[in-house]
Amino acid sequence: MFGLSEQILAVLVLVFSYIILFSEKLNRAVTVLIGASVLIFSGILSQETAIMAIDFNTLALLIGMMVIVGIAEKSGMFQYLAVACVKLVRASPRGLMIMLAIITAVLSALLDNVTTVLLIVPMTFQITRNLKLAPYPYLILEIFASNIGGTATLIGDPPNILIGSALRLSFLDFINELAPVAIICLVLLIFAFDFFYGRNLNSKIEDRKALLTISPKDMITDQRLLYQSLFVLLLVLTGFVVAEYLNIQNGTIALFGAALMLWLYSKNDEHMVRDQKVEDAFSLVDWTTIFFFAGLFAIVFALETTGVLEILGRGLINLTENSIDKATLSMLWISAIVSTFIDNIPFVATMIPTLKSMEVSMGGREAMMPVWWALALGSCFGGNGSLIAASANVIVAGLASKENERISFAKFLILGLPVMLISIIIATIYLYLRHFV
Amino acid sequence: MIVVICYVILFSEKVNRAVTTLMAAMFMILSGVLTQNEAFASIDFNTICLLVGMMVIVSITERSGLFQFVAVWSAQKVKANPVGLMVVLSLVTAVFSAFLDNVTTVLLIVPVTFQITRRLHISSYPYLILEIFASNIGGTATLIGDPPNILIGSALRLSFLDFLYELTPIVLAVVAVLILAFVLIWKNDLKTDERNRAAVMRMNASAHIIDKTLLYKSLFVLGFVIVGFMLAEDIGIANGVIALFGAAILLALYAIKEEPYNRDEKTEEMFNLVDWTTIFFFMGLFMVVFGLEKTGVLEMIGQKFLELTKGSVQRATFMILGISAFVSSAIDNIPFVATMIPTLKSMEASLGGREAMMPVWWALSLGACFGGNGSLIGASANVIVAGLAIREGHPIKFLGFLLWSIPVMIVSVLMAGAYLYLRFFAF
Repeated sequence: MFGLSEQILAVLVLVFSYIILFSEKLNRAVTVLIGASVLIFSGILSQETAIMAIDFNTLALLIGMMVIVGIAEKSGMFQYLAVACVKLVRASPRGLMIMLAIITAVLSALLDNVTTVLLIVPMTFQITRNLKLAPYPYLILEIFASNIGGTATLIGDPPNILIGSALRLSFLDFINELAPVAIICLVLLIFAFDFFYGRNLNSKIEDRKALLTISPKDMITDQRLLYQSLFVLLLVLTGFVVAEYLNIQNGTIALFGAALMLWLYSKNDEHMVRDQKVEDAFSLVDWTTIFFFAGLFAIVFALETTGVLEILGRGLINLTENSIDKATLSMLWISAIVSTFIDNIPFVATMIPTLKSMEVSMGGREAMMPVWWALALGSCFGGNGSLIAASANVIVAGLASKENERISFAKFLILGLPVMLISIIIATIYLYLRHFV
Repeated sequence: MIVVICYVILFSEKVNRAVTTLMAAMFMILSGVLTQNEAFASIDFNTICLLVGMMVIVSITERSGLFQFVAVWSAQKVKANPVGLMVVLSLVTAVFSAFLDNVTTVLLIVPVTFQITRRLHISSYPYLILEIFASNIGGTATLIGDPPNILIGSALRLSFLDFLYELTPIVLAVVAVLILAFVLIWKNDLKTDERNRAAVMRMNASAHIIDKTLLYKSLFVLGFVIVGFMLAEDIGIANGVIALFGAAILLALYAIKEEPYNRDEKTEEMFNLVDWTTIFFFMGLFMVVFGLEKTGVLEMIGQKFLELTKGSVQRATFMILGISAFVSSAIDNIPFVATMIPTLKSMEASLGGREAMMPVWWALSLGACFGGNGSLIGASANVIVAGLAIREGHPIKFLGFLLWSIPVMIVSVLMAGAYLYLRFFAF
């Protein structure tokens, strides 16, 4: 086509798509869909290979979890949790900072980060307004906690979902490998924030008393739905844990949970209302993200088939001189730096086939594992590096500006960059101690 | 077992249909009948892409007001004469349903019909039921007009032109007969006076155009996609990609001048307008039917059916036409067609290969689509019109509708039988 070799054309389409993606001139789902279509029209991909390239396990997992979380949210259970924690620390500003960070981290490990901050940030504003405190340190800490917490599990962050699905890693593999370092980073982070902000925060006793009059029970909007969502959430999480032994993939479990949730959610309604509720619940899925993933898989696959990624992989192998520890270290830092400035999803999606092509030269799948964990840690922790590094950051900034609390790019960088660097240093030490000593 | 329970729940309508098929599919995976990879591989993503793409394109186009404009404009072209109105409204319905899905078509046409008949002080009843019939028949004409056609076209890799060539003639004939019959039966009951007609003529057709730039953009993309469908065969690109590409282009054009935040909001909103229940219903159904196929049940049915037809394609054609019309008038035709496709495919070798089997496939399409006219629950468009009519205070009764619909279905199926006979077996 146009006298170009397939390799060059595929690279052109990809570079062009990535430029549009990062310049944000078009919606990201639209960009990758057009990019993928161009690849099909030019004959590099056929419709069948493009569809084969899509990792449906990832999509099923994302769609399933989005439906489950979207419905569970309506029961008020997450707000219940937040208010219960306020009670636990008797509304002390210092205790609240710790509790909010922990809840954010735990929720992000189980839900996606954007949903977590969408739930936590409005609660935070309510609490700080009542206690007449500056919300700024709380918000920043929540951003960091959500990115770090998301690193801990298979379903916490899109890079983990991608890596887990591509390598067929289990839920427990992630907890086993990544949760320890995520917990260490979180603890250090909370200590640091407590030292710089928390211990200096004070609030009047009567404000604290007023806040304590809110009962967690009032947050529950639908008791029955609460039990139903808890049941399905537990079932799905158990499913993830035992999935490995049953030889069932996570996509099936999440989708089954979603179908069950939808059924429970709508079963006592009239026919018309039932269908309406189901349709509404499907609209809670973030379809832009789903199509973004689908298109991205196709584009990356084109790069793979044309051999571009293999060239990239060979370059990396030369750079690391075939040594796993060098590869791990460079992967960790490269992905952290890259993810600080651009969206980590396209980066990880491109790296996966690249790393896979290196497997043989690096001594097989098992030997390569530290490099994969480095990719996960680097790209997730990198999300703390700047205000645009992760979608959760952008969302918090957006919510804050609605409340007249501006989080500026530069101001965030002052805290974000050190947090990112320290967490990556910790990750470096952790990976070194765990895999190379 | 799973499939039987699933179909029973589906037809009893106790649970949302997407939820039913998804659960059944997941049970199949959990019980080990299918693996997740097999299940996902069994989904016909060409159909899914085609549906999603067209739904996005149509929902954006709808926002421009194009369809309402055409309806009012054509009513004025016949000077708001009640009989002429009957002709143009049913023609517009048939043409729209050939290119949009039937539910969208009636959702667009029925409110306009109420507006016009109210001004003319005439009963909306004959118009509404005629529109139901026209939408089901019109949808039969093209690859994208009706879900059974999308399924068949995608499974057999038939082109847009194949459908136009094979099915449009018979559809035109049936629509013509239908309109003629309705005009003859109703012409004496539909009387209005000059003043009422003038009221319709005063309606401002262009006022329905909400967004002129969007109108041009959508017309451009729609035209582009339809041309793409026609050329698809020659350039070796499947329809799903064309529809999805069209959708992406229209989404880009639709939101191009907005701020990043609004742009993403608008795009997400359009994705939400896709009828996801239908999409997941299809995906679940594909997996369930594949599970059936894998266990060999469908092949058994196929064998039984072969014995009945004694290996004659002609017999098979007429049996399929009759059975599918009968079944589709009572139950949803989508699960029926989805089950029949692998069944018929398993018979291909015994009946003399793909080419020889083609009349049977066309019979399946015609039967399943025309069968939708058989009762008020025969197709989703019927249910929607009945729902809209109740809201306007002119309910369409199940039995009253049957009085019209059974003859319409029988006549159209007989015509289809004659057509298939003349076309494939007479000479």
